[in-house]
Amino acid sequence: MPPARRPEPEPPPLDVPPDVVRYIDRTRALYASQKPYRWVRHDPATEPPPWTPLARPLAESAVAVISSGGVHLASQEPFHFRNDLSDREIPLDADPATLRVTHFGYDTTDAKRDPGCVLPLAALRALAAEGVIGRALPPALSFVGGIYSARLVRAEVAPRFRDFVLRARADLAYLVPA
Amino acid sequence: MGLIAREIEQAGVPTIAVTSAWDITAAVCPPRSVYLHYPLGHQGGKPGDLADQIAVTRTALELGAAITRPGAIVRAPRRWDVPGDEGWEARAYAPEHTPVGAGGTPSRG
Repeated sequence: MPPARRPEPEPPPLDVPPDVVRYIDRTRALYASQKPYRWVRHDPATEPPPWTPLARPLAESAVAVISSGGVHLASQEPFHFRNDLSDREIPLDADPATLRVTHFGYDTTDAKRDPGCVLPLAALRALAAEGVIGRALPPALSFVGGIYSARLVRAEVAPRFRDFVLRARADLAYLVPA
Repeated sequence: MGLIAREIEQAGVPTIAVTSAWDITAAVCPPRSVYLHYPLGHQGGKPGDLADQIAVTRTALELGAAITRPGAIVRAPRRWDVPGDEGWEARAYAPEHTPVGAGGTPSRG
């Protein structure tokens, strides 16, 4: 008989300011009847994030943009309901009228009305024109966050997006979750 | 998105993430994050408000680029002042205000 699995120790509480919404706690309450989802935890002391200094000032940087807001062109296949690992390439100058938003995990009312809420293409074009950034790199990439499998994100999604950013020769990646 | 940020940064490209979920971001600990106190689904800015979207994106990029401590989360000095949306924090993902379509079963792969 296999030994009984010991429950994993609870990770230390997160250092969170008092006024922010505690989404982890609220999600636990929403799905109280189900096995609790184990959010990814990296202890900054033992698993600090990798670090690459900015090579040049923002004003000279080519910026790649990735949004997990579930934005796609009307001509592209919509995203599936959940655990959809695919992505869509969005031209930087896409007409907002041709953009659609399909996502199950957040209230998309505003994003459907104005996809700039989750993929700020016009803002990035304006910042490039003003010289705040060097340029925004085409195309932008969008996918649906709320992929419940951290294993699949690590194994499939993250390496693909890493290669996208490397191929684009980006100086910086700007990530807009939803 | 934090896992993706870590992967990209590991490959030698710096990342800046804008976030409205401080706790989830702190848990994953991406290299550079800028916290925006807006409801989820608006990390690009307010709907139909290009000036706000420009200000949010500019602030996130500038504050993010200035981060020197790996894993830091810095707060963007922006307020969600959409009329009629006062007290949004109490409604966000509260059980009596389940988000649209959030009926999926969380599972681990």
